[in-house]
Amino acid sequence: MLFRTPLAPGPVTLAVLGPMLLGVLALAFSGCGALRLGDLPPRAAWAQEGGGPGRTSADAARLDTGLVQAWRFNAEAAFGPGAPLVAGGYVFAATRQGEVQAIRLATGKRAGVLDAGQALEATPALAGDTLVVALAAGRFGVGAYSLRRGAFVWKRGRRAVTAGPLVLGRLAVVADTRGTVTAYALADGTPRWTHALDVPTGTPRRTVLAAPVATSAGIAVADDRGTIRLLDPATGALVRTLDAGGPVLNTPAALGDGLFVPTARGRLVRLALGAAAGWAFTLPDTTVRFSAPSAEGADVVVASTDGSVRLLDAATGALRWTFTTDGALSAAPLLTPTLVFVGTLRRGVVALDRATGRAVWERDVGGRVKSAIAPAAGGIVVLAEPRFVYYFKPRA
Amino acid sequence: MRRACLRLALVLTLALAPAGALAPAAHAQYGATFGRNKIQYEGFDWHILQTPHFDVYYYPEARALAEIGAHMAEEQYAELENRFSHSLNGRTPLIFYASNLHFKQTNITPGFIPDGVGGFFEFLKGRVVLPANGDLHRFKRVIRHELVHVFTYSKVLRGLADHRVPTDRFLPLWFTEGLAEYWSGTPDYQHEMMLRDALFSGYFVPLENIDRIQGTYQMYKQGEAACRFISERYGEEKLLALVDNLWRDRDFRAVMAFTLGEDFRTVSERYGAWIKAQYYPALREAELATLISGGLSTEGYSAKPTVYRRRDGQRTVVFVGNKTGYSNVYAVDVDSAYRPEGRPRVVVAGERSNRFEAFHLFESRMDVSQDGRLAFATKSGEADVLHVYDLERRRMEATYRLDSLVAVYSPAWSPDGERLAFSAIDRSGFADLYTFAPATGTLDRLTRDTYDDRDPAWNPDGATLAFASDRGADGAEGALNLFTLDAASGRVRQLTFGPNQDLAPSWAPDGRRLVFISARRDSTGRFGAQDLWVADLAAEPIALASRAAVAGLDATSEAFGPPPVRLRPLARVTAAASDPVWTDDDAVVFGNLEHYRFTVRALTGVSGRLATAEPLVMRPAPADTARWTLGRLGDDQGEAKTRPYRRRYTLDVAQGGVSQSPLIGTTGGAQLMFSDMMGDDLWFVSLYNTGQGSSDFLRSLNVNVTRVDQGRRATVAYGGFRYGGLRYDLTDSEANETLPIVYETLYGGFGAVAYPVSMFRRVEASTSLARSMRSLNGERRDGVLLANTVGLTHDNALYGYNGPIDGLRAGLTVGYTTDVWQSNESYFTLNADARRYWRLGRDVTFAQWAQFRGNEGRRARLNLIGGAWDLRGFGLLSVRAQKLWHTSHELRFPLLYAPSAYVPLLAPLGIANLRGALFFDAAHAWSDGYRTKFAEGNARAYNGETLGALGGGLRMNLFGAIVLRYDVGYRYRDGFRHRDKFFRQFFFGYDF
Repeated sequence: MLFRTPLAPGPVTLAVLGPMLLGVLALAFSGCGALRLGDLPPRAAWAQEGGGPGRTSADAARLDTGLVQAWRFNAEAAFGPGAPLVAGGYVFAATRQGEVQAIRLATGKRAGVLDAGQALEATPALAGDTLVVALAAGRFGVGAYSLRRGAFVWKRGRRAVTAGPLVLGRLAVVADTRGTVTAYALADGTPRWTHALDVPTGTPRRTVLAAPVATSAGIAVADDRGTIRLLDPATGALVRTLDAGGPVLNTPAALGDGLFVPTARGRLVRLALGAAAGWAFTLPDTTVRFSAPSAEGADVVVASTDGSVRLLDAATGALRWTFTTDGALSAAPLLTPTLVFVGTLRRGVVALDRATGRAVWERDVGGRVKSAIAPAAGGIVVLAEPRFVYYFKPRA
Repeated sequence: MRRACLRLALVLTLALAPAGALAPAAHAQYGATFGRNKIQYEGFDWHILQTPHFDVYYYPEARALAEIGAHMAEEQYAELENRFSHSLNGRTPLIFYASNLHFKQTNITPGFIPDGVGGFFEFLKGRVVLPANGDLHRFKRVIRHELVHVFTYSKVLRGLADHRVPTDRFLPLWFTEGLAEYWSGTPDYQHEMMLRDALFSGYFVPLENIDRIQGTYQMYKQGEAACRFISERYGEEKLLALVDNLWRDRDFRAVMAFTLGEDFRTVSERYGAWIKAQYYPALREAELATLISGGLSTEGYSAKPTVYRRRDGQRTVVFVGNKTGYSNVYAVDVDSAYRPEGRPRVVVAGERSNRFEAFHLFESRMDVSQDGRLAFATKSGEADVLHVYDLERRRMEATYRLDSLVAVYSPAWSPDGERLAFSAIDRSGFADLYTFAPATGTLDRLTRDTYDDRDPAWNPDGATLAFASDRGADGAEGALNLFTLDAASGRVRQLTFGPNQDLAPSWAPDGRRLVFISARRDSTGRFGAQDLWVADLAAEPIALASRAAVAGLDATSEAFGPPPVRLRPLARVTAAASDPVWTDDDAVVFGNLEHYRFTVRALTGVSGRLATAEPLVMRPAPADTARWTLGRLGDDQGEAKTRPYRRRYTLDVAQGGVSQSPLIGTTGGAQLMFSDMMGDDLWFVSLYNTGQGSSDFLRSLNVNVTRVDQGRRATVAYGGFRYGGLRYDLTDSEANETLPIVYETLYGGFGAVAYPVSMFRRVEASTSLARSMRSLNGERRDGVLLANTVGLTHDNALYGYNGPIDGLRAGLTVGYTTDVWQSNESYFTLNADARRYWRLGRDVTFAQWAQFRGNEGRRARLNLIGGAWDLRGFGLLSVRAQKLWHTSHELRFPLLYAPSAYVPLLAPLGIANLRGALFFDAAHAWSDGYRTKFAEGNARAYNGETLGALGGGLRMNLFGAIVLRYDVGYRYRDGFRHRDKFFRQFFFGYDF
C-alpha cells in the first residue's frame, strides 16, 4: 500500500482534499448570507409582521376577487405564522430552515437568499434596506442585515426569538422567549433599553410569542400568561399592565386607542388604552385559539381554530358575521376595503366579502396555509405547506 | 412480542427466506417453524362508512356501533383541531370491532393482542383500530386517545419537515401516551388506582427515571399525571408547545427546559412535590388491606375469588390466578376464620389448550353453585365459552358454547342451580344480561340496549338480579351504578346514584344487603380508591309498603321513585379492592391491589365493622332514573355514505440494502411490501442482484413475488421466483469435508397453506415446482424439482426473558422431492422435533429437546447441525449427513435478577437478568454406506460417530430483546469415549 505525505500531495489526495477544502470554506462562510439588493425603496409596502408597527394586517388597496395564480416558488422549507414582507418588487419569505428567500414579484424567480443559519419563526422586519431578522435558535438572537451591502451590520443576543421584531423609528424592539424585551438602535445595534418581564417568585418564567405592538399608549408586549405590558418606547419603563384573561400566543393589533388581543382560550378582548371602553368576546369552548386579529375602520376580524372567521364591531365587540369552513384556521386574516382573505389548514385560501362574510373566491394550494397573507401589487402572496410561495395577481 | 405467530412465520418463511442466497425453495428440507397461531375465525364482511374526516370500517352486525363511534370521532376531531391548532389533510381510517375477541383477530398488527389493549394507532397506513366491547364510554375514550396519537404524529412530522429536521426523533413514549390519556378525558378510576398505589407503596418513578417503566401501564398513568401537572403549572398550551418545539433538540429534556422555562430537574422536582401534595392527604382515611385482612393467595396474580363450602364442611376459596406465567383456576382451603390451610392448588390448568385458551383475568368473575359446580368463562377459539367444573368430584362437567354470543363475562348461578346469569356481548358490540339453563340449553336475554350491563348476582331468593350498569342518569358521563332486575317482570330499579363507579355487587346471605366496590368522586371530581361498600336494602320493602299504603299505589310503581338505600363503607383501602364475596361466616373475601400485587384476601368481622360505619342514605329523585342516549352519525353531521370494502393495495414498506460476503460477493437489492387496509392480503416483492459485474447482471438477478392471503382461517401463500447465484451443494454426501459451491439458476413457483387447528396447533402443507440449472466445475446438472411437504406443529410454550420456560413445542414434517424431468433426485424427508420444558420452580426450568432429521433416496440432501444453537462445542453446521438425531438437555436457573443493581455500568444496557445453564448435548449424523474418515483433532466436518458436549453457561438479556449466551464445556467424540477438547462459545439468540 502506498502512502503519500501531506507535504507532497499527489493527484489523488488533491482530488480528495479539494472538495473537502471547499466544503470547509462553505461551512465557514455559511450563515453570512448571500442576498444583495440595491433597489429597495425607503418605505416598504408590507414591512413587518402585521404590515406595520400597529400589526393591523389591513391594507388600503382594494383587491379584486378575480385573482389568478401568477407563480409558485419553492422556498425549500416551511414558514412561520407571519406573512411575507413585500417591498420594492420583492417578496421576502423567512423559512423555518433559516433562510430569507427574496423573490421577484414580477417573475417569481429568486433574487437572492439570506442564510441566517437557524430557524426563523418570526417574520423579519424591513426598515429601508435593513432587514431585521430574529432567530428561533442559534448563534445570535437578532441581527440587522444590510440588503444593499449583502452583510450583517450587527448581531446581538443569544436568546431564541420567535416573535416578530418591531421596527419603530430608529429602534428595533425585540422580545425573546426568556421574557426580555430589548430595544436596539437600528443603525448599530446598540441596546437602548431592556425590560425583563417580572414574575412572582416561584412561578415559571414567562415567554413572549406575540410580536410587540406599537400603540397609542406605548409598546405593548403580551406574554404567554396573558399579561400585557405597555412600555415607554423611549426608556422601556413599564407604563401600565393589562390582563387579556388568557394566554396570548398570537400578535395583537392596535387600532386607535384600542388593542385587540387574541387568546388561546376562546377569548378576544379589546383592551382600552384611552377613554373608550374595552370589551371581551368569548366562546363557550375554551380550547379555541384565536389568530392574530386584523383591524381597520370599524371592523376587527379574527380567525380561529374552530374553522371560523368572525367580524366584530371594533367599538363594541358585537359579532357582525361568522364564516365557517372545514379545517382549523390559525393565521391572521388580511383585511382589505372590501374583502377578507384567510388561509385554512385544509389547503385553501378563501376571500370573504367584508360586508357579509360570504365566500367569494377560493383556491386550493395543495398544503396547509398557516401563515398570514400579504397584499402585493393588487394581489396576494400566500405561504403554503410544504414549502411554496404563491402569488395570486389580479386578472389582467 | 417474542412469540412468533403463524402468519408472521409464513411471511418470514415464504417471502423473506428466499431472499437469502442459500435458501433453496425447491426442496422439502426444512422442519417446523414454531409459534402460536393468530386465527382469523370470522369472515368479516367489511363496509366503509364515510364521514367528513374518517373512513369507518365496520361489519353490518355492528352498524349501530359504527354510527355511534363515527359520531364520537367527528365530535372529537373538532375539539382536537382546536387543541392541536392543526387539521388532518387525509382521511383517517377507523376500524371498529364489536368485541375484544374480534379485535384479537385483526391482521393489521401481526402480534397477539392481550386483553388489556384498548386499541392502537398504526403508523404505516395511519389506521386506528379498536373494539367497543360493550363499554361505550371506554370506546369513546379510546377513540379519542388514538385520535390524539393521530394528531400528535401528524403534528410532529409536519413540524420536523417544516424545519427540515430529520425524522430521527420523536416524543418520548411517556409523553405521547400521557398526552393521549390526558386529552382523552378526566382521569378515570383506574388512573387513580395506579397513582395511589404507586405513591403509597413507594414505587412512583420520578420523571427523570421514567424510562425504567417504559411501556407499562404505570408509565401511561404517570405520563398522564405529568401532563396534568404541566397543564396546571405552566399552562395547557405548553403541552402543544412541547410537540411544536421538538425540532429544537433530540433530547426531550432540553425541549422541556426551553418550553417550560425551567430546567428539567426543577420540573421533575416540582412534579414530584405536586403529586405528593395531591395524594398524600388521602392516606389519612385509608386502611392498608394487608393490615385489616388476611391474605389467602398473595403470590403472583390472584383475583376473582368465589367461596364454596364442601359437603365435608371444608371451606374453599376458588380464584383465578397467574403464578407461573400460565393462568389457572386455583383453590385454597381455609379454616373457619378464613386462614389458608396450605398453598393454593391448580384446579383447572389454563392457556395450554384450546378449551381454556385464555381467561379474562380482569373482567370475568366466577361463581360456585350450592352443590359445588364452579362456573367460569374462558376464550375458546373464536368466542368465549361457559365451563362448569365439579369441585366435589374434581372434574370438568361441561363446556357450553353459545353461538349467538361472542364474549361472556361473570357467570353467576341462580340459587337453585338451574340457571346461570351473565353479561355477554354479541356481534353488535353491546353488552347485555342473559341467563342460560344448562339442563335445557335455553338462552334468555334479559336486557337489550346500548348500556353496559355487567356483574350480575342473584339474590338468595332467586327473584332478583343485582348488577352494575351505566344506564342511570350519571351514566351519560360514564358513571356505573348498581341496579336490580326483577327476573319475572324485567323491571329495573336503580340502587345507587351519583357520578361514581359502583361495581361487582355480591349479596349477603340474608338477601337484604349487597357488598360492592365503589370508587367515588370527591368534591374536585377526582376518583378515590376502589373501596368496599355495603348497600343496605333492608328498609326498602317496609318503606315502600308503608308509602304505598298511604298513597294507595302499587309499591313498585315508577311514580314512587326509587326507594332509599343506606350505604356504608366497609373498608377504605389505599388503592383498589375488587370482586367481593359475602360468605356465610360474617366475612368478605375480595381481591386487592396493594404494592402492585393483586392478592385475594379475607376480611372478617364484617358486621362489627358495619355497626360503626356512618350510613350514607341514597334518596334519589325519580328524575334520576332518566335514561340517556349517545349521538349517532346523521344526527347532526349530515348523511354518511356507505360502501362495501374492496381490497386496494398500498405500499407499506420499501427497503433496500447492500451486503458483502466472501462466498457470494456483493449483494444489493430491495424489498417492497404491499397490503390492503385490513392487512388480510400481503404482497411481497424482493429484487436483488449478486452479480460480480455488469456482464453478470441479468444472470444473477433474483426476483421473488409472494402473496400471502391471511383473510381466512387457512392462510394461503403462493408466488413465483427466479434465483441465480452461488450456493453450497448440499446434495453431495461424499464431499462433506468442504461443501462444494455450485452456480445455480432456479425459477419456478410455490404454494403453501397453513390451517390452524387451534391457537396451539396447525397443519401445514407446501409445494413447489422449480426448474433448476446447476453448474459445478463445468458440469451441468439440470432438473425440474417438485417438492411437497406436510407438517403438524404444536406450540404452547411459555417464554421467559431468555427463551421458553414451560410447555411443549413439537413438529412433524414429511416430504418428498423429485426431479420430474430427469429423475436425478428423488428422496423422502422426515423431520421430527420435540421440545419439552419442565418447570422445576418459579424460575428454574429443565428443557429437553430431541429431533430426528432424515432424507432418504437418490441424491438425498444433507442435514446440517452444529454450533451454539444445538450441538455446542462444534463448528456451525459442521455435522452433516443425510440423517441425524440430536438431543439437548439444559437446566436453566437464575443467578442475578438485577445485575445492574450490582454493576451500575450495566444499567444503560437494559440487562434484565443474569441466568445460568448446565447442559448436555448429543448427536449422531450418518449417511447410508458412507462414513467420513476424519483426521483426529483437525476435522472440519463430522458424521458417522456420536458426538456430544457437556458444560455450563451464562445468559443475559439486553433491552428485553437480545439474549447473550456464553457457554463453556468439554466436547466429546466417538460415542463419548473420547473427551476431545475444552471449548468456549459466545453467541446471541434465545434458548432452544
